[in-house]
Amino acid sequence: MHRVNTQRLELEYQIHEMEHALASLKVRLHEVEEDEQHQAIDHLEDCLDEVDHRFSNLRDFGQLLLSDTRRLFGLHR
Amino acid sequence: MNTESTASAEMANKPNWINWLFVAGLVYLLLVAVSMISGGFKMAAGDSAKELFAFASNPITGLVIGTLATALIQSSSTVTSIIVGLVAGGLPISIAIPMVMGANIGTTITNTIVSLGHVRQGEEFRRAFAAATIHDFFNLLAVAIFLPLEMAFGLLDKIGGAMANLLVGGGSVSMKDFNVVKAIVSPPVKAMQGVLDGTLPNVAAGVLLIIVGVVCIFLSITFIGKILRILMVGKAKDMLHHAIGRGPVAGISSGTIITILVQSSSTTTSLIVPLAGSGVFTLRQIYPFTLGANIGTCITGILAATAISGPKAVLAMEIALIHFTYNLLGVIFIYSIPFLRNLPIKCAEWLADSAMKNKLVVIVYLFAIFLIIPAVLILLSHIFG
Repeated sequence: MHRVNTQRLELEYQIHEMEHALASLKVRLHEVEEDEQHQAIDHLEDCLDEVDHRFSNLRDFGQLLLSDTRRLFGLHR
Repeated sequence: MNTESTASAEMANKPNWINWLFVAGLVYLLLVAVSMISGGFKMAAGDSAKELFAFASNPITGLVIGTLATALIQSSSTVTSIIVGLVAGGLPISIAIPMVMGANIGTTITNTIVSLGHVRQGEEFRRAFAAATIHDFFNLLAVAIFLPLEMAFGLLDKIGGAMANLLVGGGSVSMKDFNVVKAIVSPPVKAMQGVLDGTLPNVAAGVLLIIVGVVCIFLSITFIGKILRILMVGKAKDMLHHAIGRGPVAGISSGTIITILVQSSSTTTSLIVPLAGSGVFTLRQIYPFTLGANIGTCITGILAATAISGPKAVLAMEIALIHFTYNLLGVIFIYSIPFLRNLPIKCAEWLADSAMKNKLVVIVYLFAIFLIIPAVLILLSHIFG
């Protein structure tokens, strides 16, 4: 009976430790994510530049679509 | 470097005060242009403005006109400013309301095109495309909820009317006696009307004035957007830094303020596409920011409405405020109900998954939203009256 109790207490302690470690890791992950987000925002000019590339985006997409369609119908060499 | 980037670089090299001077001049041009459309519409249509737009009296037709016009011009601010001018010229509010709703849908095409820049990057494209189309699905959902309510109860018309009367004054508290904007906007419009009145018949003069007005609105809003992007990028960064980790209300607020700063919802919704595409921001994190863009874009219409004076000033302000009320209520209503809030997320994720697997889905989706569904809706609405 005493041995079972000790084993249970040990397991509970290990779970508590793991939960604590998990919570710490989650906090650290959250901090790393936010840090990455701040770094990305520092380069916002690059994102704004993408708005000016709409027509080249459409052209590239058209070419990709064409080659995909050719491949689909076995027209590609 | 393309010509647009070169022009932007040239603007960035100018001292800030010159750029601000340009912005002030362009805002003046915008106000004059809105007044031109209003005056031109009155000249061309006279008292028969309602009959002229009878073809759009069906709300679905109005919605489709707003959607397609915005998708073609790629600027909801331009279309809402034109609508404000037309309302001041006699276009009935009941026809204009579905048009401004359509403008919200039409503007979503810009960030969808921006997301296509990631099309060769598999998973990155999936995230970018979902970030772009979440705006589409939110706006479609808002129309699905508010257009029937408007048709049945005139909900937005009533709220907008009350707000416009409060702001501009419908009777006893009129702003027309101390309208500064009227004093600075009227002279060039009256001068143009005077020149055209003597040389062309009324209808032709009116149509010419409308065309010049539309071109001026388009140019002024395009260049205001380009200059403000340069001037306001620092403030936009500050807003975004501030919103990180502060929850959806901060996201909505920063989206609203950035859109006001750059005077373009499509710029705001497009700049988050690469941020989401890179995986740094999740779809749920950028979603509130997109909604803020819907609210912020209304400021241009309200600004345009200040150009209108006289008895139609209330109506011009009413349609601008209806646009604002519609977007604000849409965000509050849809975002506060978990089921409705999650619908655009699920639809955008599903569509992005399908588009990543087969690029044809993108074309089918764009044709469906901007061609097939509008055509079917118009057909059905005419069949069933």
